[in-house]
Amino acid sequence: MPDPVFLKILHSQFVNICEEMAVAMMRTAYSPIFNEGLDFSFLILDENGDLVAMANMNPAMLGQALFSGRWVIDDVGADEFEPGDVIVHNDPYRGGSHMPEHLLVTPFFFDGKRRGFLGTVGHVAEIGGMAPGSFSSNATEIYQEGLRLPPVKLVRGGKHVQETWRIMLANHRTPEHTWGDFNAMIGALSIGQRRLEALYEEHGVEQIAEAVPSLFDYAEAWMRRDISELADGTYSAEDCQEDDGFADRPYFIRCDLTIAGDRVIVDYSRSDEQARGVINGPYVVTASATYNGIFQVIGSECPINAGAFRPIDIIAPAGTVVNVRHPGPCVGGQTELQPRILDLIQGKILSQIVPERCAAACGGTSCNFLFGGIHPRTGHYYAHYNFEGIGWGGRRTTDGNNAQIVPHGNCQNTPLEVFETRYPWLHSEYRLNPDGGGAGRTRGGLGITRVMTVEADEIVVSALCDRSKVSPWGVDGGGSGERLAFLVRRDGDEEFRTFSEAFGTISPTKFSNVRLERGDAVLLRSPSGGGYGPPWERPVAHVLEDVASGFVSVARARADYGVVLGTDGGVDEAATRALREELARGVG
Amino acid sequence: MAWVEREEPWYRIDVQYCEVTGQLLPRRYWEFEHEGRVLKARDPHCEELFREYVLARRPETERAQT
Repeated sequence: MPDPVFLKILHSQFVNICEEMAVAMMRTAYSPIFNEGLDFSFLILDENGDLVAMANMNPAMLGQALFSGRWVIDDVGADEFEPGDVIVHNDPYRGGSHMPEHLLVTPFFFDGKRRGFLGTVGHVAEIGGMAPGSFSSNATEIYQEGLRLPPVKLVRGGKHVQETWRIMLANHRTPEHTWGDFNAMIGALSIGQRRLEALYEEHGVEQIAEAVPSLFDYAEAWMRRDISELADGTYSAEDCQEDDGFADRPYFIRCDLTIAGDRVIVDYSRSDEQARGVINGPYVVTASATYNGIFQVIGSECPINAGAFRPIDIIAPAGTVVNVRHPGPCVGGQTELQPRILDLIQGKILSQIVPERCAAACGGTSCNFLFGGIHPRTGHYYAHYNFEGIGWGGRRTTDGNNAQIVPHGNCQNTPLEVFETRYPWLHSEYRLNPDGGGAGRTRGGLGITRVMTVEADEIVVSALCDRSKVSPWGVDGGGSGERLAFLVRRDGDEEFRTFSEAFGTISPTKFSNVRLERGDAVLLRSPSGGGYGPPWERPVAHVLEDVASGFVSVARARADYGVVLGTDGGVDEAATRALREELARGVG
Repeated sequence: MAWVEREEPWYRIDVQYCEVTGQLLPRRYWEFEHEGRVLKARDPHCEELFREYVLARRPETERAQT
């Protein structure tokens, strides 16, 4: 067993290499989804493709980090990887998550022998398909979602493979960005190569070869210890995505989670069959979400490597909404199914065992808004994939975060200044939603409202959102968060209407290729988080702060929290005490 | 029960799934028998999971469909 201090140092060095690659990517990529949104991850794999370390960037990509590299290496054959090669892959049926996310893998050689692999997963904002931004809510087959690449060489021996590049560039709507973004990924990987080489020079091949399995064992032991502290048993719950863009019916994810000593079995066998629309996820998406839900509650400080996942088994039968079969579409699985599973695991299942570590439901949708067209200023084609901040659920001791991207994504919003500089929209509102957060002893975080007007002759827009019919739930007596609204006001109209009312889309929140014109305005109200605990137990001082901050209105302070404010803004203590007693008795 | 090497021509692009967990089956997969039926799994751990968990937990009717 190597020295534990050395193990800790080595682990940190591996993670630092991943983080340095990530910073290089952020600084050199062309698209805002990378520069601003940080929708990517970097990883180091051992010679078998097992995860050694990853940068703490996008947890939604955990499943790919664990499975995709291994499967790609298996698919291609490890001996096919030569020095200077980079393989690209985005096939959800061969270990990918959804097609916009591309895995790039390059081998790491030292002293003439392959020692492992470096990888990156990046969400490329435009990869062709039936809608700009490659989120085709009306797709019914994978072929409509963009260009699907099985593992193929993008770089061979340090030189671009022109055949692969030309196919990609010809099929993506914004080839300049494809060129810039993929080269940013390749450049970042080459930085990782140099740093890993220096690390091997520092410690030597033998010491690292001996240490990596010990790092895996250490993480596994950590997780098994934490799992052992939980009560054995099977815990079940369900949640749903409210429609698939075609049928006005919910699709249920049903989970039975068994704790048996030091292992966890997560079984989704009772989930609904796969949907016709794009809300399905492949196995790695379900795995990512499951791991994220578990790691939010158990072993959150544990080093993330292949060993940490050994005690967890996941059963997700093929042909269900949690494991789509070819050629079912699945672009929405990574963005909509993931938050649903994550909350199901932590907020409905593990909260039955350790409620103090869990949270109420978050807004639960990435609020995907995609658009593209010819920019009136440049004359060039543009496309953008935008995700939006939502409210997170209240936790045992703290309120939910306001206006944060879904918890599994760890991404950032695109600032208005960047948004309006790059794309022909003008914002008239971008603000938090007062009274949106689910009432509770700790309050749900607030979603946002964005209103923006088209500043071009035409913009083609698509959306893929959820939680417009089913509210983000509260926990332990907490109230629900406000639901999503995605509306449009045609130029000259006075009212905002749903896209179904204005354009006849089947679903008001899942549609593709709607043509907006100059002067049309879009209103997005993202959902807020659920509350935790009875609202009348929220300290009066916190309610007052909420009112002063504009997060809660005077009327809702009274109705939800039982805090009665006088005309001078002061608390009517007698009336508050009486009202809170009534609310607690259920008569308020 | 045994390891099986999947020998498929390069132009076949369809995939197969582990019949226990739903994971993608690698080129080399684990095959085992249960009540006269041959099941394809990712590795021996999946067979263990099948015998310890799936058979123990699921009702008979559901097991038959597994």
